[in-house]
Amino acid sequence: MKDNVFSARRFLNVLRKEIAVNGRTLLLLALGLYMGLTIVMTFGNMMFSHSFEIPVTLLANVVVYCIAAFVFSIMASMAFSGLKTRGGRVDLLMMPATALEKVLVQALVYGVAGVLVFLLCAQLADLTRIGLMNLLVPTAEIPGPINFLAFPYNYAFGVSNYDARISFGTMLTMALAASMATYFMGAVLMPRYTWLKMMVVMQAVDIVIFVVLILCGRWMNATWLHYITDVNHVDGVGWFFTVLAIVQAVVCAVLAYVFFKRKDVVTRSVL
Amino acid sequence: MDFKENKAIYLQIADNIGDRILSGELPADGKIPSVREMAAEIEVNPNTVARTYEYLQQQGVIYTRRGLGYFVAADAAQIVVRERRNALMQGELDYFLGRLKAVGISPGELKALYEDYLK
Amino acid sequence: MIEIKNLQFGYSRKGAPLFSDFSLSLSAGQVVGLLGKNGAGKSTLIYLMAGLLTPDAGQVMLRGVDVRRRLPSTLADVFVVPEEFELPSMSLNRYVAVNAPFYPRFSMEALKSYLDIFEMDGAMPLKSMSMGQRKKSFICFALASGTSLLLLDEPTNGLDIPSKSQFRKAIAQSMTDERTIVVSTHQVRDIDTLLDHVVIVDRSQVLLDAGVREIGQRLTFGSEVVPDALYVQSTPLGPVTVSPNLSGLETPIDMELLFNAALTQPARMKELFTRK
Repeated sequence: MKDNVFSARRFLNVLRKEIAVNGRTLLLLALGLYMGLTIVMTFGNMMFSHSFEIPVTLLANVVVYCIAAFVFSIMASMAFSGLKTRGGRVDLLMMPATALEKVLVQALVYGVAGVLVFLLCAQLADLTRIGLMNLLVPTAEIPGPINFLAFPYNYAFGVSNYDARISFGTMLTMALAASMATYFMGAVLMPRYTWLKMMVVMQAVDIVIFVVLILCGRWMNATWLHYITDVNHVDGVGWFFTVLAIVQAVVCAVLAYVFFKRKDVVTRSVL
Repeated sequence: MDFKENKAIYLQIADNIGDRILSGELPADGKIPSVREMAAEIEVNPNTVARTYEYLQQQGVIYTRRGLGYFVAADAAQIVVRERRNALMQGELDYFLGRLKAVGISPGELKALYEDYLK
Repeated sequence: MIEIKNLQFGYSRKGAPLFSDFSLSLSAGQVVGLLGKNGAGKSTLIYLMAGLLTPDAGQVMLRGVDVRRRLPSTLADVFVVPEEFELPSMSLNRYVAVNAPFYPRFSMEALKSYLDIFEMDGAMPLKSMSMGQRKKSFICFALASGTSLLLLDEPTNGLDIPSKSQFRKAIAQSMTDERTIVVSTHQVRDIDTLLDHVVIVDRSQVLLDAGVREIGQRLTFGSEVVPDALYVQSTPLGPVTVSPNLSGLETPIDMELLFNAALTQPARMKELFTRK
């Protein structure tokens, strides 16, 4: 208790409580995720077991990446479930731990652990796919186990000097982190129907940014803007969006903490 | 306990303890419940019970032994009777005798009635 | 122990605030009754004392620390039992195992004695209990947490009569010199014998802030209608009144009468309690 910033013991107690209270639900969701992924992969294998121009493994990775982006944003918006009800807010805000510890636990469970669980489920689903395919359609072409981590980092983005290129994988990872952080922040601001609300907000924000960039480009005629939007300088684009993603991730994570600190048991009419 | 009388609660509790001493339920030199135990038993604030115990200690009805608690004094019963006698004499008796006079009951009648009651 | 200094708070920015320049001081070792009409802000005051709401101005200090900072040391010293609370799907024993580590002064022994008083079984799943049983379980934990400040918002709501009696026993047993229990209620008769101190609030004003002993010395509660009675209420057994105590004799406090008297005669009440 002397340490009022961060205490490992307290952090673990908060973590233990979160798992004890929500563990069963999370386990069921993980199970559902596993089953869903198995179905998708088995189905995909069955449909696309004939040769394609694009390597099947790449297709699988892309599909899984899209599912991942979707699932990660949902996971992140599931954080801070205690904030949904008044009684839950009292419980969460009165828990004897610092705001930092509470936020970190949420980030750990609904961010980091969520990602790891997803990868685990994907890998298990893939192995299950192999088993199922051998069982049901043994004659089809059954690719070996896919490594979901390998692909993105091998394909680099850009046409110019190799060193200036940013790998596709890095870009995508940062984009995922940014998305998760944004939905995580949304979970603090709008605990009820977070995901839906955040989706709407994000779409609106994306449209606004898009429009602003285009208008800027037209009016300012800035060379740097041309550079980063010019397809011939694709590495510039890569860097630009990666840095943007990192900034978004950091800002949203910090804002999540700030908004949580300011949270009261009853929201006032005007912030 | 029902606190329906018009006396301060701590005094009502004292009366209750006095009753229990006179009936023999709380024998001389016997231990009585601690302040907290008594408070929980009759569902009253411990500070009120503490006030009762202080009052009874002052009268000499109970005494404390450090670390052991509160005990009924050896002559507690006599003290209780004496205090109640005084209270009766000073308070209700006047009123009661006044009522008797108002309806015209003679001393003789009163004696007969009281003797009858004691049987 | 608890100092509320010049508190200002309102739920909406426009319109009159609920509390304006509100100050109150509570000492340790007391059971404080917080009385007020519905909407007077009892729950709001409880939330403010727990640091669950941010004041517009002023502060609430617990042992010299601003509760809104929500320092873990403060949070481990305060427990709130709100009117609506949530308990997870697990047994009370498991709940205790998960939550007790946060409270350094938690006592398993005390918990067991409260469970006995309430006749509760720790192994029973919380979700399969009735509302009243869940409330009693939560109260057991709250009392056993060993915090210096315990805030209960309408604790007897939803409890049947035997349970209210158990509640009184448990509160009486849990009191210590370092502990302050604040009970906000409009069912005053449920806890009137437990109170050390009474605070009556109405429209951001403190109508009464006095100890039970002082109230007994300054006011008489009886059935005689005297000319300068503060408040008279008709009952089937005749009138009951609150009047200034001229005889010096202490009478048991009728909290409901006291409450009504404070509400209807705030100026006289204030005057009666300010002169020596």
